[in-house]
Amino acid sequence: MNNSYKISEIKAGSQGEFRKLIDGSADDIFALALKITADEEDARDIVQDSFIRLWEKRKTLKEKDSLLPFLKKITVNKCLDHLRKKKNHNINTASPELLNTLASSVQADSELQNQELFSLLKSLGSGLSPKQKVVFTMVELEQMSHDEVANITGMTKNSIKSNLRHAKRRLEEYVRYYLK
Amino acid sequence: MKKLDKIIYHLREYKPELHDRYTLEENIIKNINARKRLPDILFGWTDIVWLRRSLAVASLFIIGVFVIQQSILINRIEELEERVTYFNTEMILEYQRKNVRANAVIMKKQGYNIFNDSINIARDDLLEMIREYRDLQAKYEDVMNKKMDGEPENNEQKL
Repeated sequence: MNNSYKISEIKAGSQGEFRKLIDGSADDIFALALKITADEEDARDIVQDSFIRLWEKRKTLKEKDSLLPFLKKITVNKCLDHLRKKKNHNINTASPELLNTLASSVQADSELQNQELFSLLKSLGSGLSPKQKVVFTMVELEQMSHDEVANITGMTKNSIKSNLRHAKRRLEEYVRYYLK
Repeated sequence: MKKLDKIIYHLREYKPELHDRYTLEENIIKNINARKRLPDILFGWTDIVWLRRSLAVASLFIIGVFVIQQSILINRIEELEERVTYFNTEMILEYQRKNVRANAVIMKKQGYNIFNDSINIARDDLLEMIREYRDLQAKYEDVMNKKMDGEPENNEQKL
């Protein structure tokens, strides 16, 4: 991430510095949101809303802190809200053909295509609760430490461990069942 | 390597790119500028730190006053309840006393005899009866004294 922006100038209302922040961090934030939501359009909306929210809250920022954890916190909260809203609209699992392709790709250790990865994210995420999905994405896919996840989500370390354990168990069951 | 680990590896390595970042950036700035023109009248004050803190302190003070007020009120209510109980007990006892007297007066006025086994006796007869009772008691004591002195055989004659 490009840290060339100055928090003091962003706090003062400099849109030029804020653009630098967007340039430097949009990709990371988008990747996080996409891996949690598994929907490109939703992830884009969440990224946009998160930056707007950060701008609105700029006066409460502390200059010594990095903006990225705060931005991730906003993004994760927005993702959680989004997943909770979508909870009732159950995300469909991938089609049997796609699952077969995935199974053979995984078996053969070949490179997965973007579409296949999206399907994997959607399918894997459909059996998890919003919290489990967030914790799994942050710890396993984004390789964040438990401390970092606790700081961003506000969850306790025990809760993180428990959610991660449950998520992995569900995913193992899913993989065993669908990707034989 | 387990299947799940392989999948996690693939997903971890997957670095999605944000297409058309320029449009996204412009949208963000456009939104920011639009919101700047429309100040948030309803919740805009939440950005003022000192106001937020002083309101928090004020709310804590009000909650404290409320709690103290409630405890004082509860104490007073308990005190009043004790007084009412004492007053009620006194009232009941007084009522019962008056009631007994009132019943006696009513019955007497209606010609009832309050004591069912009572009799009427003349004063002279009563005095005579007391006199005879005393004589009889004196004789009984004499007999008992003589019996104690060893003259049991004469007791029947004297009686």
